[in-house]
Amino acid sequence: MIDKIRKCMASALKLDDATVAGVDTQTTAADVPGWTSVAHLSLVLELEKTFGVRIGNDEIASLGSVSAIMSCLQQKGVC
Amino acid sequence: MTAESGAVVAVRMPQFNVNDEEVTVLEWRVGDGGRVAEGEPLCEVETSKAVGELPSPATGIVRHAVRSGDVVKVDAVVAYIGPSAEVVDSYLSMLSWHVAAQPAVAAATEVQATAGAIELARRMGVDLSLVPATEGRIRRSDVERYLAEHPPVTPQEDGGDRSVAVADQVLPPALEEMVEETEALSNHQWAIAQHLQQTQARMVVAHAMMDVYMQRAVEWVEARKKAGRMASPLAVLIKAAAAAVAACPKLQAFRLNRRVFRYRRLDIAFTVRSHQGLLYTPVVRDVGRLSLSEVANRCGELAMAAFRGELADADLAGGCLTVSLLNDQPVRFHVGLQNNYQTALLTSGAIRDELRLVEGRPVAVPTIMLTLSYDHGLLDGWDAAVALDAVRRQIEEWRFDKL
Repeated sequence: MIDKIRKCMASALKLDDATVAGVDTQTTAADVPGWTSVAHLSLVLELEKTFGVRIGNDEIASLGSVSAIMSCLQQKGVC
Repeated sequence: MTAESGAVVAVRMPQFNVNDEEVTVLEWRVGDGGRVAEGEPLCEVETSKAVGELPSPATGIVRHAVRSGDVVKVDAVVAYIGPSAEVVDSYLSMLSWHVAAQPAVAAATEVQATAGAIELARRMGVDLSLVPATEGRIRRSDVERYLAEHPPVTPQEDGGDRSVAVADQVLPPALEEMVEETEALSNHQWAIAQHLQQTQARMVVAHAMMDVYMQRAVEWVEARKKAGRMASPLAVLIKAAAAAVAACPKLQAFRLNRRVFRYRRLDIAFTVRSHQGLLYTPVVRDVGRLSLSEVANRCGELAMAAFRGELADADLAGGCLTVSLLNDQPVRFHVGLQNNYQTALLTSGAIRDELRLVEGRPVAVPTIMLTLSYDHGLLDGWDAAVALDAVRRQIEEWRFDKL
């Protein structure tokens, strides 16, 4: 799952390879320069497309970390 | 070109010959309400030198703007083509002055007028019975002359909600060789353009600017991100705008000529640009009662709905003022245009480092320049300065302790 999330982040947040390689389960939006509030919306759309889930608009603000994204996806049945 | 995508195409009479200023529409080849394909003959025309056909520039349903036998000026609209009759009629309705349109149509049955004259009169809200005819019956040129002598008055004296008439804007001949027409505005873009034109016609726009140090706001955003919760300075600005309204209550009101209306609740709109480049202004309700964190969460919800194209009318209605943040672009400030039925727009450029003297030493401090664009008919420069200073104090002196 983490690799797919990295790909989503690379695409939506326009990250270089080195930054993507540094993304792990402890990463938060504060650690990634391109993870702005606007780019975050594109990341959510990318996650939905990749994992085939629908993320509620009221969940958006709390997904500012990789661990929160993983937890959200797991709750939606993504392994 | 196709009108199937939703756009309505105005078909203008081309200049067949250099010396021709007018062309006669002899006969329609496609009836009013009929379907035409791009390139098919739309009507038969007669110039000073020959009889020919006007090919359709688009595919779709045709609505005639002139009748067979009418003499029309070069570049005049002779027809509209859209994906359906309903869409074209809706478009024409949008162009017209809703109230004034009726007398024009009614008058057309009582006076002799060409279809071109009726179409222009309907669109510009002219009572045809007032237009003098120069050649027995009223022609389009008579209406144009009347409009030149009696320009439409905006804003409306009764402050009613009418669309602003959009004058037929014709490309100057000198530019014809220098430019090429490209894709027209989408319905969404056109609606925004009309909306802003209407707003500008109604108010006297003035601007005030002020630098604001954002150190505490930036620290709050970063702290929130470290906690895995998204935020942007937008939420801070919205909350600070509420402080501006408290300091300058006129910001919660708007003016329709002499009449002033005040919003009962402190709702504040903000601008969102979707990834498809569409602009929206969803509204955060009752900002005064929400915490900064709640405002940030609500902004995220509404922005996501805008990105998905799922904003409901209820999300967009009202709002006493709008906040617009351009901090993802390297601009120092930007001067926006107020939304309708609002007095002010608070805009911000990007956060930049500015040297500030702290205990006698220069220190780089994150700074934004705020611009308050306001209706000078309701607020004066003093009011604007008071409002901006309230925003500044709120942001610079805030204790951002809750994430």
